[in-house]
Amino acid sequence: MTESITEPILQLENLGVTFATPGGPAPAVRGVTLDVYPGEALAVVGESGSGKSVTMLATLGLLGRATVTGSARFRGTELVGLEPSRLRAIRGAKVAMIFQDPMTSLNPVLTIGRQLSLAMRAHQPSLSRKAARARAIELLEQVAISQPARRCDSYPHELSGGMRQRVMIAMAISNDPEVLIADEPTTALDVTVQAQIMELLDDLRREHGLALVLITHDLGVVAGSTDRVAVMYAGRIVETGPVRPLFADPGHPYTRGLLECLPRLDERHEVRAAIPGVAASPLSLPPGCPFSPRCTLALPSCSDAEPTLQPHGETQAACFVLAPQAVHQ
Amino acid sequence: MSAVEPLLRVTDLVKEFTVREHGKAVIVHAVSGVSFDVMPGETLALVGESGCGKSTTGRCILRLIEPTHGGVDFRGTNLLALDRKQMREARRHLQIVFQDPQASLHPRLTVRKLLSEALEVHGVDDATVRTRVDELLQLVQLRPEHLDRYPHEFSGGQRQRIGIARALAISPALLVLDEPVSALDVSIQAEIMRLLIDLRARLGLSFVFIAHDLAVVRQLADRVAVMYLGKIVETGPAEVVYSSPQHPYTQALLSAVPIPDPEVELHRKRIVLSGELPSPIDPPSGCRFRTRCWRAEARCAEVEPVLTEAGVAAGHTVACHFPGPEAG
Repeated sequence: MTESITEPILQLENLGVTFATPGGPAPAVRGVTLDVYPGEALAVVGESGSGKSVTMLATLGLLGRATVTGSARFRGTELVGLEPSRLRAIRGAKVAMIFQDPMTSLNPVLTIGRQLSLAMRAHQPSLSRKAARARAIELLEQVAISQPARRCDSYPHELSGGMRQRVMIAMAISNDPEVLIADEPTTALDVTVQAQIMELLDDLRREHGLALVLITHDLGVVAGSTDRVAVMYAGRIVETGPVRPLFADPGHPYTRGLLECLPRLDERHEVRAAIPGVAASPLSLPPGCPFSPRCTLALPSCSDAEPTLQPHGETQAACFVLAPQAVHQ
Repeated sequence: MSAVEPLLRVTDLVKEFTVREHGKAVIVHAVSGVSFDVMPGETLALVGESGCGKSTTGRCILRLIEPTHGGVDFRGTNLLALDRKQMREARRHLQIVFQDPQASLHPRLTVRKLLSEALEVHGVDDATVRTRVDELLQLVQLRPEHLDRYPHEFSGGQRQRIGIARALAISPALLVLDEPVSALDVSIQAEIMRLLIDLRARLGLSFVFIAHDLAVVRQLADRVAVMYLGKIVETGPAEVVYSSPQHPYTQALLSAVPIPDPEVELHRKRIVLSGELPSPIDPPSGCRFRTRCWRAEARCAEVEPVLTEAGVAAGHTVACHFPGPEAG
């Protein structure tokens, strides 16, 4: 691992996000600390409502009404509370993001070429329209869209789901970002198209040296495409570590449960419903460890306090049972 | 007469939709000659990607969509020849469960009403309805206090249990399950899959299981039919299709499914398909997969391959001029 010698490019420290809801304040993200290193592929994994997307949206200042606390730094610049114009200079240029549904991210009444050049000219005002169009064609070629010059004049609805996601990726890399945050980029796509898109993201990461933050619920995609994983539950990172040890010897019962109940293509096995109950709601978090009501290993003491991340083999896990907590004075 | 007759026999099913494109009527070839049998107690999985025609096929079986032509025989009766009243009677034996229970359960009806209604339309008397509703609730592992709640008060997994209970109300022999777990989180998916496997064994049900997730399918399918652009390209016992696929599309599809194991992924060979899915308005001549196939030759554009014995195991057929294992 090169972590000790390289500075993280994106640093989240004790990041918190709370939404005001009719049912009271909902802490969707609770103290997330996470480093992203240049060129790495990091997966942020969790089920619906775990806070994985909200964490990254908050980092980029993309949440409307929410209280964001803690810190998120890009190359040392604090993003939380940063003045909008300065944030815009970073977002979309240095740190880009793509989403699950490219149809809702693309403007339906503008051609692909026009949208690409708008994205570039927003950050590179000196770029002429003509140069922007030439660059747009180049970008479409880079994301393997056939007949790129013709596609420049197409509207989003004329493209397939996979092509639209390619266009989004082209737009995201148009200003040479250092970090690409991909929020469930292949969830709405068919599996053979997913394979195409993941291959493309992998190639771009290697060619441009950009860091990829992959937000996903799919541990299968994580296993094949990332180096490091952070597993989220109820707004917290409950386990983090390099991908291989995390899969081989997970230190959190939630990670274990997720891996156990996943169906595998390469074997027919008994279906195991390894995680009973339903996910904790941010509106009514259980006391202590938020996973304890669903945990098969939970001790009565697990509801006394919330565990913090502690070493478990090569990973770090927030579990009193599997990752004994360091004693603090 | 053979020992066991199929419960369901679908023969050369065709569904064409007419749509308007740029002001003129064009035909979408959604399902183009699909045939299969489902034996009593058997689970057949129809798998494939968007636009392959698997859901349309499922809906045609129950005549929720009228097939353009073909045959759907249930216990020897041709469902397509039935009038409305007879078809309603036939639906006692065939029911469907949809992907999104939120959309298929009436939001203003309680669970009690949703379940009773499914019985009342078939003329079940009040006393029987009451006891049956309790039975159904137990069958899908919901609690009595759930009866007076509305669909929105439930989680996605619980709603799917209600959808299943409703489909089972009048004790059908066959369930068409159209992506029943696709909208659910993985931990909930596993619970619903367990429930389905358990119900199948307890009630001796047959399933037509429609899904795009091949890892999910592997956990319960007896037989698999892989569809591409309105046609079955390969079919056979699930274990054989998964371990020895003969059609290039099946091979590409299986290789694209990620396996949640970094050690396995590291050594896996992935076939990444080139190009895009052709339009079902103007499908390719000959073999419909040929435009994306690395084995395609001139013949593939001229002659349409038909399902023939693959020679790997009994009942394993493939529609390809150049079938065979993927070269390692």
